[in-house]
Amino acid sequence: MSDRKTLQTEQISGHPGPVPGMGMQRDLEVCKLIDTTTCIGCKACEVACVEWNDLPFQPTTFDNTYQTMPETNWNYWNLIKFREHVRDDGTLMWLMRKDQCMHCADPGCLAACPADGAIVKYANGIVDFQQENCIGCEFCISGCPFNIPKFNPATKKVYKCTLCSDRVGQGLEPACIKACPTGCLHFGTKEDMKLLAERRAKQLRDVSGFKDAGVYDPESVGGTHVIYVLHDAQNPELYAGLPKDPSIPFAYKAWKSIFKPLGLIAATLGFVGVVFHYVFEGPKREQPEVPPRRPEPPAGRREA
Amino acid sequence: MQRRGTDDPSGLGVYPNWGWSWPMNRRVMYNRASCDVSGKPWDASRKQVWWNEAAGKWVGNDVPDFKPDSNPKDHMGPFIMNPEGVGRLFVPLGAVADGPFPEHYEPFESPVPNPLHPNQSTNPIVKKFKTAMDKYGTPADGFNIVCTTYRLTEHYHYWTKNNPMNVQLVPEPFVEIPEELAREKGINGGDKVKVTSARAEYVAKAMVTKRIKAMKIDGKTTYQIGIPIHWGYRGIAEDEGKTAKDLANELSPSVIDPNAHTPEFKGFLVKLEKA
Repeated sequence: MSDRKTLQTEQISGHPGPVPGMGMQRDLEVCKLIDTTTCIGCKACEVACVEWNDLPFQPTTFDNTYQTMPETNWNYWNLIKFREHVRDDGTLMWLMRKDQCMHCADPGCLAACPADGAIVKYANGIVDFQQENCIGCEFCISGCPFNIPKFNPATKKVYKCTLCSDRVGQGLEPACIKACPTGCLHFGTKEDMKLLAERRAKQLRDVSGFKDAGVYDPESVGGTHVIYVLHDAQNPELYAGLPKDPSIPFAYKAWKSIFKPLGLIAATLGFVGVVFHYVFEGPKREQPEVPPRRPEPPAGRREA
Repeated sequence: MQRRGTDDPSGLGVYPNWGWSWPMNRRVMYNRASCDVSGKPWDASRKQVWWNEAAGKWVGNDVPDFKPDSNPKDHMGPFIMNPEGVGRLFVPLGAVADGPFPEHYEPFESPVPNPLHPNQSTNPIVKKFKTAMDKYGTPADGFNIVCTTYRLTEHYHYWTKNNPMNVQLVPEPFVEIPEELAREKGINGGDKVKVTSARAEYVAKAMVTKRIKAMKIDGKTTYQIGIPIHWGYRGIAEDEGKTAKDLANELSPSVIDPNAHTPEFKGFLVKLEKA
């Protein structure tokens, strides 16, 4: 989609009137909407992700749950997390949340990454890892508030969901969206998905009796390009620890927004200082060698 | 699918806003039959629908399965799909092997005798095999846990245990056990458990869940456990020696219903212990 925008005509020579199509194209910021209230935990999205991205299998072990594995992995980017939750009125809910990269508008992984070009954010909102530039330092893992990027010890690179940037670039929806049989997954522009999510949350509040239903699109990371509809938006932690206020660790924010500029300013000032010193003081001159002064004999002795 | 309401205003388990049931989101078919001729519910404590004289129509906790403005005085029968308007209890010509009247029988292995007629608790003409394997357990022998078998969305019958993708999703067989029963038996999630029926033993890992609740049957707390059937014989996990080669259906009884010839694999009795 970013490609299409680059090739959009902005000016035409000798053309009367405005450029055709200018201002018509919408701002194509993409978004995935996950309605946790209609997810049935079938894992079709997990399979579609593994298939499309050609991810290698790994053995799993049964761990007292329907969940495929405890966390996403370098070769497993999309995982439904299952939680049995007893509500205050004693009724049971089996919560299922599709866990994957949230594609934050203010990505913690990108803030933390020191390697040039290893993490890029496209104009359409997708945050993508470029493994050929990855140095395997794993800073992105600690920078992510959602515990998503995972390290492959064999290749010494970090991997995560790409929001199927290859498919989206060709105007297709991500593989998980295509596989969903209940329609709990939607894909479109951020604007449209926000509207759809809010409408669904309102429906849940008004008709289905979920008074706290709402949309999860955390402001603390500038909003995300994967948003959820939750039965209980007041307690996102219930959905396998979805953070209420996800945040990028201060050290990483400070590193690039404070310490790095400060360091650069300090370095520049240092250089400027050197230049001014040269201008006003001139070059360093060679000092004549001064022999050490002898101590003068005490006055009384001379007289004596 | 979008209807997720868990409210049940009548307290009768109608859940009118959960999903949708064909036709017209009606939960009980022929529910006019829950009322007497004058349109008053037979049981005041379990009112499905009733005639509202003032409004001149049928109203209720469920969607009336009836012509909504048909006054009871007009004597329209509740079984609206039959020309005579009444239910057909009698199936003539031997069309049903255990007919001609409908009847309730308990499963062949049941935790309780049939409350309708304890002396003939089960269907007298079920088909059974007469091999040494065809033995049946009773609560008196210690088989006091109800066991059911089912399938998972992640697997297809016994085929997909040879497909790495499906095996990755759900790698091993397991037994779903209610939390209370697990606590009683000292079983933790992931422990190996042994399920024993009168016919066979089955060993798999325990999945302790809140999703299966204890039942009160005839005043006694009765537990149910569940076993997904997809493993056994040969498969990726079986060939690697990670799981037993036993089949879940070695536990279940080969008791065949005389009409549809459906085997009774969904309800039988077992014992449960830590393996």
